[in-house]
Amino acid sequence: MALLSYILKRVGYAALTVFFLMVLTFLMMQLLPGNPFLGDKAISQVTMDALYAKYGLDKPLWEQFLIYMNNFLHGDLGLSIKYNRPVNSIIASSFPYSAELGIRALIFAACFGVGLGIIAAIKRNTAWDSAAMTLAVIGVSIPSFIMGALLQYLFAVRFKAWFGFGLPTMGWKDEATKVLPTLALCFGTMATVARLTRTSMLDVLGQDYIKTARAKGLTDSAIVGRHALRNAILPVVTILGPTAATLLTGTFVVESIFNIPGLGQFFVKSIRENDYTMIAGTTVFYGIFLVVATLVVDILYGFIDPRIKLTGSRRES
Amino acid sequence: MSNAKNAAKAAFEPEKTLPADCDLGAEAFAHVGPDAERRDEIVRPSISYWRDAMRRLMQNKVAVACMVFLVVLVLFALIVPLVSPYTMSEQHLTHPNKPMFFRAEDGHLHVFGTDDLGRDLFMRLWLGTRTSLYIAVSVVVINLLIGVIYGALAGYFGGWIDNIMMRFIEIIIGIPYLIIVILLSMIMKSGVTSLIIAYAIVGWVGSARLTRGQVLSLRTQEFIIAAHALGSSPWRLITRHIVPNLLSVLIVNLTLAIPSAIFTEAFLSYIGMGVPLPHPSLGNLAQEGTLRFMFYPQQLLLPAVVISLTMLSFNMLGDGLRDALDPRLRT
Amino acid sequence: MKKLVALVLSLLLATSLLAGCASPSPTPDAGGEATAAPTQGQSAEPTATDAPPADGGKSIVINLGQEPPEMNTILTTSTGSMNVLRHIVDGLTILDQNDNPIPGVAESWDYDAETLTYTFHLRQGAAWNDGSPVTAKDFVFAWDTFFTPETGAEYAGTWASLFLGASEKLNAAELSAENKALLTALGYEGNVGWKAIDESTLQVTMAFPCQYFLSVLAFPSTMPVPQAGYETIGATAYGTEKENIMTNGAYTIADWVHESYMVLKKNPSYWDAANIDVEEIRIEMISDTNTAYNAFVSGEIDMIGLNAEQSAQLTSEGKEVLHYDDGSAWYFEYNTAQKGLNNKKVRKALTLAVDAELFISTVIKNSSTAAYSFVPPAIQGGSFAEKVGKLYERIPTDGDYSAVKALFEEGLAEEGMTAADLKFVIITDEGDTAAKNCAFFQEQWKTHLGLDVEIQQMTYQNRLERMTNKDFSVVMAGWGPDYNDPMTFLDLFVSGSGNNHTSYANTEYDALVAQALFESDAAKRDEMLIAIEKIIAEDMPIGPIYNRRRDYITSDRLTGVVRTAFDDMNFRWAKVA
Repeated sequence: MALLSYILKRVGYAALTVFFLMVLTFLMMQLLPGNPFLGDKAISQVTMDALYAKYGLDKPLWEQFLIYMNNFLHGDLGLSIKYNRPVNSIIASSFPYSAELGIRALIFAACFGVGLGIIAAIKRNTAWDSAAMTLAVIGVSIPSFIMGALLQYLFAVRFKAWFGFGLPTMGWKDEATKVLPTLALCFGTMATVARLTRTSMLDVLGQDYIKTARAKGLTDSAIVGRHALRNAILPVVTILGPTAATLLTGTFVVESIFNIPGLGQFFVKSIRENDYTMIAGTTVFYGIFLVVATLVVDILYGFIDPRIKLTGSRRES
Repeated sequence: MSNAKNAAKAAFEPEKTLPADCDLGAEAFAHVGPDAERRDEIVRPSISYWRDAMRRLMQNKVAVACMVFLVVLVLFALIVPLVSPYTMSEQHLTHPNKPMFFRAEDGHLHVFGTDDLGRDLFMRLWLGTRTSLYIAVSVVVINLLIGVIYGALAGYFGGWIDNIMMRFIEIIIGIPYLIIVILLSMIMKSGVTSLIIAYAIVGWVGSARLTRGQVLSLRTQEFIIAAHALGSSPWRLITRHIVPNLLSVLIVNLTLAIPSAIFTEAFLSYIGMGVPLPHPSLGNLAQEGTLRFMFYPQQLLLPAVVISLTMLSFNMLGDGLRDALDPRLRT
Repeated sequence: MKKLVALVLSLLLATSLLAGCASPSPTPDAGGEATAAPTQGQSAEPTATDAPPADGGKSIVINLGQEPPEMNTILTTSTGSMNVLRHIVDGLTILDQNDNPIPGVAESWDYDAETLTYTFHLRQGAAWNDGSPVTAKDFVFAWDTFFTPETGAEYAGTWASLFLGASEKLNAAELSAENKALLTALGYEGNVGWKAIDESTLQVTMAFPCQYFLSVLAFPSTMPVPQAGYETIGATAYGTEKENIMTNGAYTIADWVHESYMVLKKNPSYWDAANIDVEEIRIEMISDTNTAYNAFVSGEIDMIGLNAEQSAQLTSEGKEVLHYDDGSAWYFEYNTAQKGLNNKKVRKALTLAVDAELFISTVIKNSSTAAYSFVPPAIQGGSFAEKVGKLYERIPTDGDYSAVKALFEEGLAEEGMTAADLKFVIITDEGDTAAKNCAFFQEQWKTHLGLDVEIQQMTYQNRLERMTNKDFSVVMAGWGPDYNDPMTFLDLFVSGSGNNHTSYANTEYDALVAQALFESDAAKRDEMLIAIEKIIAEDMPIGPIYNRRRDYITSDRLTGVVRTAFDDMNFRWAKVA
C-alpha cells in the first residue's frame, strides 16, 4: 500500500499546484493590457457594461475567481469571449488534433532519437558517432518555423514541380497530410532524446556491472539490449513527461504553418485577443496535463529503475 | 636530462644513517644539503582537474572548431556594426531585395544583399547576431544565478522546504511565458530588457532543478558531512563546497541553454512579440526571410545558417565540455 | 504514385500505428464524419476533404485567411464572417457585382419620400434551412435585438442613426415629442420605426433621407433572424457551430472545423439557385501566407490573396494577378492633445514628410494609391474623390523636403520646442506588414525631418485600448467603408465621438457633418462634404497616407468572383469550369 499512499500524496500536491497555477494565471491575465470587447467600431458605455456583465467581468476579482473555481470544480471552464463557445468544447474539439500530432511526433522522436543515441554511444568517437550527432544537432539548430516552411516547400511544392507528385501542403486529413507536420514537430525532440541517450549510455557503459558483463563474455548487443539500455533510457523517460505535455497540448508554429486546428493556435490567439476565459482554460488544461504527465513519469520511473523506491523521498545513493 | 633527474632524486632522498658495518667511512660522503636552487623544481607538472579538462577539450577537434567559430562570430557581431558604412535602419529604396555582393549604381556594396526595404543585410545580420547573443547570454546568466541559488537552497535544506520550493517550480512551469512576455512588454518600454526579464522569470527552473538534484547527491557525500561536522555555516558550505562541485554540470547546462534562449527569441519574433523594430535579431531576420525565401532565398538562408551554426557550435561545445569535464570519462 | 509515396512516408512514421493504440480516437471528424453527414444528397463525393479541386466537379477551394469569429449576423463585425454570411443569409436586398442593391428577400418595395418610409414586399416561398418561411417578423426581431444595448452589437451605433427611433432605443434615451408623433402618425405601435404589416410586408421609416439605405439592408447586421430558431439555439451559441446558424441564402453550411475549414453547399431550394454555378465552396482558414501560396501553386486551392513578392512572382510567370479596391483608407491618427502634436503645422509636416508614392512603389508594391484627400476613390466609384481633387502636394519637386522641414520647425517653434523635444512612439499592430510600414515612416521622418521616433508593436486589443483611452501619440490606423457614401469616413472625427481617438474638436466640422446628414439636395450635400474634406486637410487630425488595393489570384477554372469594397468576397456570380 506504500505505492497507493505515495500516489495519493502526489495527487494531493498536484491539486495544490494546479490551484496556485489558477490563482496566478487568473491574476496575471487580468493585468493583460487590452480589452476583449474593443473592436474597430466604438461602442457605447451601455453596451460595454452589458458585455462586462454578460461575462461576469463586472464583479470584483475575488468574486470572479470564486465563481470560476466553482465552475471549474463542476467541470466547466466558462465561455470563450472571442468565440462565444464553451471553452470545454473548444478544448474537446481541438485537443485531439494537437494530441495526435504530438503523439506521432513524440513516438517518432523517441524511437529515432534513442536509436541515434545508442549508435553514437557504442561507436563513440567514430564517423558513426559524428554522423548521428550531426543529424541530431541539426534537428535542434533549426527553428521549427524555418523547418516547417522548408519541409513544406520542398516536399509539397518542389516535389510536385519536379516529379509531378508531392505531399499535401496543409491540413490534417489523411495519412499523407500528417507526414510533414509530424516531421516538422519531431526534429527538436528527436535531437534532444538522441543527445541525452548518448550521454547516459556512455555513462552506463562505463559502469562496473557493464564491465563485469563484458568480462563474462556477453556480446555487445546483449550488453546494450539487456543491461545498458534499461538504465540509459531513464533520463529520456524523465524528460518525456514535460516534453509530452508540451508537444501534445499544441504547438502554435507547426499548427499555424500547416493549418491544423489544434489547441496551440487557440491558445496563442486567446492571449493576443484578451480572451480571458480561454487563456485560463487552456492554461489550466496545460497545467493539469503537465502535472499528470510528470506524475505518470515518476511512477513509471519506479517501475523501470529498481534503485528508486517510490515510498521514500528520492535520494541518489 | 638524466643528470638533472639524478640530482633531483638525490635532493629528495632522505639522509640515511649508514649501518655500522659499512666499510665506507662517513668521510667518503660530503653532506650536500638541500639544493637551494632545485628543491622547488617540479618534476612533472601537476595536472589540476581544470587543466586536465582543458587539455582534453583541446584535443577534441570539433569542440575547438566550435570555439573558434563562436569567437569569430562574436568578433563579427561586435565589429561589423561599428565599421559598417550603413546603419541598421538605413533604407536604400532604389535597390531592395538585392542578391549577395550587390553593388548599386551609387557605389553601395552590399555584401549580403539588401532586404525588401533596401537595408543592408550584412549590417543587420551581424547586429542581429549581437542582439540575439546578448539576449541569450543575459538570459542564461540570470537564469543560472537564480537557478543555482534556488536549487542549492532547496537541495541543501531538503525536507519540507525542498518540497515547497519544488511545488513552486511546478507552478512556474505551468505559466505560459507568452503571458509574461506580453505583460512585461506593456509594462516596460524597452523590448530587449523586457524580453530578458520575461524569459528569466520562467527560465530559471531548469537550472534550479538540475542544481537541486546535484546538491541532493552531493550533500550525502563524506566531504560535505565532514565540513558540516567542522561547523561550516550553510552559506559557506554552499558557496565553498557545493557550488564548485556543481560547476562542470552547470557549464554544460550553460552552453546548452544559450541555444534554447536564441530559439525562444526566434519564436517570439515569429509570433510578432520579439525585439522591437527596426532593430534586427536573428529571430526576426529569419522570420522576415521565411516570408520571401521562395523568391529571395538568401534572406532566409543567411540568418538561418547563422542561427544553425551558432546552435550547432554551442551544442557541440557543450558536448565537448561534458566529455572533458566528466571525470568518469577520463581516458 | 502519390498514394505510394504517402504510404511509404507514413510507414516511415510507423509511430502512427502505435499512436492509434495509445489513444483510442485521436482523429476527430477530420475525414470520417464529413461524409457521414451529407446534406443535399451529395454523398457522391467520398471524403471530399482531400479531393483536389481539379476533379471536384463544381466545387472550389478558397482561402479566407482566418476563422470567421462570430457568424451571428447581429453581432458580427469581421469582414471574414461577413464574407461567409453573405453566402448563407439574404437580407432584404443583396448587392450585385457593382455593389448596387438588388432584390433579395424583398421582391419589391415602395418608397414614400414624404415620410421617408419604405414598404417591402417579401418574396413568397423563401424559407429557412429548418423549413420555416422567412417572414417580416424575422426582420423585426433581428432589428429589435440588434438595437438593444445589452446585445452588444458593435455595428448598432453605426446603423442606429438611419432607422427612426433606433438611436434612442440603443442609448436608452427618450424619444423626442416630434419623433414620437411621427411614429404614431405612421402607425407604429412601439417606439421604433419598423414593423411587420403582415407575414410578407415590412414597413421601415428612416431617420433622415439616407441615399444608401437600400445597400445597408444588404449588410449582415440588418439580415433577418428567426426568433424561434434564435431562441432555441440561444443568443450566446447562435452562430458558433454549423448547426447553430439559421440560413436562408444561396448556400448552407455543410461542415465547419474551427480554425481549419468550412464547407458551404449550394442550397437547391434557393430562389435564384438556377443562376448559381458553384455547387460547393470549401473555405480554408490559412493564416500563413507562404502556406496559402504553396497550396495554390500545388493546385490545392483556387483562390488566395497575394503579398507583393508572390504577386510579382506569379506575374513574371505569366499568370494573371487580379486586384480590387478594398475601400480602406490608411492614415496616421495624431493625438492632438499632446504637446507638439497639438500644432497643425507639425501634423501637416509629419504627414507630408512621408513620400506616399515611394511608399506604395517600394513597400506596398501593388496598385494601391497615395492619398491626396481622406475619402478613398472606392467611394461612389471615385467620383467624390475626383470632385475633391488633390488637397495637398505629396512630393516636393526634386525631392527637396526643406520646405516641409521648415514647416515642421516653424510649428514646433510655435510650441516652444525643437525636433529633439518631440519624442514619441508610433504604435501599431503586430506582424511583418505593420512593422515594415512603420519602419518606412520612421526612416522617412528621420531623413526628411531629422526626427527620431520609436515603433511599438502590440496586440490589436491593446492598440484599441490605447486608442480608446487616448494613450498614444501617433498610431497607424485604417478605416474601411460601411456604406457607399463619403460620410462613412467623414463623420469619424466629430468631437466626442467614440471613433475619434485624436481628441480633435472643431465646431465648424461638427456643424457641417450634422447639416450634411439631413441635406437632401445632392449638390449642396456634396459641397458640404467637400468642405469637411478641406477642414481635415487643413487641420490634419489624421495624416492620410494611402488607399489600399489588394492582389489576389484565382485558378484558371474559376472566374467571375466579385471582390469590391462593400462585398469583399462573393462567389454568387462566379463560374467554375
